[in-house]
Amino acid sequence: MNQSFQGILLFLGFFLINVSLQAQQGSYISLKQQTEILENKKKISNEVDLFYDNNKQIITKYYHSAKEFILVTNALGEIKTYYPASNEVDYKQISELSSKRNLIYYFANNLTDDLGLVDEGFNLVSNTNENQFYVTLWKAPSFLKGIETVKMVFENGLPVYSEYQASRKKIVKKTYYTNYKDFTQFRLPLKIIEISYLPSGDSIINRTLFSNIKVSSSPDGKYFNFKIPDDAKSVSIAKGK
Amino acid sequence: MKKLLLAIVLIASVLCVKQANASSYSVNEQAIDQLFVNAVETSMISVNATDLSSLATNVPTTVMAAQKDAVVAIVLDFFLGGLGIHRFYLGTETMTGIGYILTCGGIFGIVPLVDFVVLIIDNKDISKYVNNPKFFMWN
Repeated sequence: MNQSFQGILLFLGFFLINVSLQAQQGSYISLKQQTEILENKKKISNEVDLFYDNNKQIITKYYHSAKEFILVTNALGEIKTYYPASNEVDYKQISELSSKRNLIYYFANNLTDDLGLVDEGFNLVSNTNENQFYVTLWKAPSFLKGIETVKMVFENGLPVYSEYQASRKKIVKKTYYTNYKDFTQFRLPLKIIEISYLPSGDSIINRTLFSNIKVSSSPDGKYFNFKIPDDAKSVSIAKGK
Repeated sequence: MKKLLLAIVLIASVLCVKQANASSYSVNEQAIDQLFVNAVETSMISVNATDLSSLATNVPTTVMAAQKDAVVAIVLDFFLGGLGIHRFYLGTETMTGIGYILTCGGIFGIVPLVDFVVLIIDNKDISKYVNNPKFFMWN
């Protein structure tokens, strides 16, 4: 009897730990993403509410700063864009815009060692220590034209800088990951600054800010599991003409 | 004494280079902020949904360099191959050009001749010769 009671207690203990871990896993992430792009002293700004379902790997973005629409992306790169005002929906398939190519996916799943470089065909060629930084160098796949290597720099195990190089001396893109915030199961940079250098000598600065971040075990946001109305009119064919 | 001084200078130089590298891994956020403050806001009305969705993905959208034309490279190689001009058109290191000069036009013209042949053979896809830092680009 005593052994049975101990067994039940043990089972309950494991069950509670499991439930607790699942709750901490942060399967559902919602945040506000503000993106600003600066080129030639002109800037464009955009604000979006992002909802990421880490179980289904679906990203739903609600755009409201310019034109109102909802964009749903899955891991296969299937994109549905719904325009509430006109009740229209547009379907596209762009693998480069897959939810698994979004930085949220890599950070939420602690895949920060390469931030997707391996998925894109890069190979690690060297790793060194420079003061407090751990520096890795990745060789680009042959099909990626114009890029020879990517340098990734880590501090305290987190990526703080990456650099796309067309050759040893020619940098085409620098990305800085700053203002990290700790969550239970992952850490996310609240500010990402990307500087792209154009062949003309100009550069484009892309600044992304994440705020109002909520991590939960249940989908408590309005746009998690967003369903496009059945009567929405498809405009994909019309736009493709 | 001279050796000691030289060693100190060498160590100091290495430390300076390391420090310079380390400082390049952080961004001057205030300077970036100032650039955004001084910029003129532009409307996003003309930007479509897919353009917007690609703003913060991990896709290296801006890293693709301009495509190089195989015909241009072949013509440059034919007329100015001995100077390695076709290599600079395709993108290479400065040392490659110096190598061409030091070896009397790429080992007496043999290297540009091989370049000429491989560019003709691979004219449909010359990507492996673009931004190639090697002296023998086909190797």
